[in-house]
Amino acid sequence: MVPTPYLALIVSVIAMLAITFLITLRRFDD
Amino acid sequence: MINQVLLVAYVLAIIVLSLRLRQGTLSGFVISDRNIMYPAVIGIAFTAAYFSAASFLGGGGYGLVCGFPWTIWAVFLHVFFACMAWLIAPRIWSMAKEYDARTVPQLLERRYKSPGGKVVLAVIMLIMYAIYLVAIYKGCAELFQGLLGVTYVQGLIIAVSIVAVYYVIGGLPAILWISFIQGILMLVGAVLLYGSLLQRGGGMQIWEHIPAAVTSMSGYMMPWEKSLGMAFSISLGLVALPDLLIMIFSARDRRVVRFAGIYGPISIAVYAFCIFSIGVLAYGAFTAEELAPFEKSPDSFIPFVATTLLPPGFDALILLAAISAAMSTISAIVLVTTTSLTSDILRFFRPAISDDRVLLLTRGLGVVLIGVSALLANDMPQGIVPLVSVSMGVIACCVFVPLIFGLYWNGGTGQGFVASLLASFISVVLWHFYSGSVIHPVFIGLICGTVAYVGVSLFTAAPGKEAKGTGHK
Repeated sequence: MVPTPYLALIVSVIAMLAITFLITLRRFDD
Repeated sequence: MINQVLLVAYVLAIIVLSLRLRQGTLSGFVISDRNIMYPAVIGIAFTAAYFSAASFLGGGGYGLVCGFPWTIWAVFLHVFFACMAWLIAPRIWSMAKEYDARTVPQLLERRYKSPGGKVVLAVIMLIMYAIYLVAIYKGCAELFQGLLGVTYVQGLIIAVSIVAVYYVIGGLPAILWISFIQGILMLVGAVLLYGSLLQRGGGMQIWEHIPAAVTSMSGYMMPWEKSLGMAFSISLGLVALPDLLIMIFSARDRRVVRFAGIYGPISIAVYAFCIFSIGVLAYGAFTAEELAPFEKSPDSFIPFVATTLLPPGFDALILLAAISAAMSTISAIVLVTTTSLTSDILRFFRPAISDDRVLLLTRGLGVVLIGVSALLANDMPQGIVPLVSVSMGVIACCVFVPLIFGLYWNGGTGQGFVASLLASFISVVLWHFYSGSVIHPVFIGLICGTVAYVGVSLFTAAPGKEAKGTGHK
């Protein structure tokens, strides 16, 4: 069983990356 | 034999690249004439320059002592600050372009119209980077010892020669491209180490063998607050270290910076996740007796994992990855430290000096700096040891406050800028030496720097209107 803090870490890392990429790709003003 | 062949191929590749990327102008040498058009190169070189051998060896083994809080906080904060850094990077690029800044002190000087602030920051960078450089050289020489079986001094000479060659010939373009290749090597090394530990521990079964004390969030042999403070102070550098910011300056346009913002955070996430998990996973892959010697010297744990778990040849790859981690950081630091001396401090006292002369001095003094720090690494003065751990935190604190406020707040003044530099620097050093508290000095430096910046800026702003200078779009 993967410990809960490690699972939470994986989920939060994916979420942070996803948000960053969404913002990056949606910036059409450059 | 295979180690020597690998090293020769590595050095040859570095020399050929440096020669091909040679630049004849100061702007070319220092910021590659803002002509780098590949987002992957900037993104991954940024990651390689950020992570040094200390992260590869120390960060990997540190989980052995600290347990889960180190792994969780170090990975989380690295990814958080990496995402933040790359989201604000396009603004930083635009500001550098608008002010035609080639160095970070110059950027802040023009933002705040404060030549004095530029010199104060350049002096802080010069002292703190030089101290840090000595520590990385020490690690790098030890790695060469392991890779080639040479003595410490011979290892040091090899490390010095390789970095000096590509620094002098190529400048930032060579540093960027070589760091890009070194970054890929580091990522491969990190994934290999992580995979080999998982395989040895039986895949997901590995978690069954790890003691509950190691995966407790209250800390294993170290209180969790200490792990959190250390992870924060190290990872803050991602947003504010001048040796990383110059890589953003070198992009051809804002789009390149934007898309580098995909490669940067991904490479940092993969590397941090693999490397910072190793210390904890080790408890599921090795017995307590096997791990006992490394609790005292976590730095030698990664070489042990590489030689024990990986097939012959691959262990050399791991050492090469660690050497790459050290060299990519050293080369970028030598460049920003030397330019802070020539472009910032010298130009302040002798404004009429020509670009050609500054370029010549930047090349020459870079080699002197490489040589002097190597000499100090050979016989490290005891006085600087306690400063090594906070040296990067001091620089990050000093740059972070004026940079972020300068990007997003119109009210900052030149006096506020100088006050924040002095407040951050003095408070971190004093707290580090005299407090003995579990709270990391960088937190104190950030608070003091921000209070001084905002307070003095409000006090010195022209009455009836906000201070000049614009937030950047």
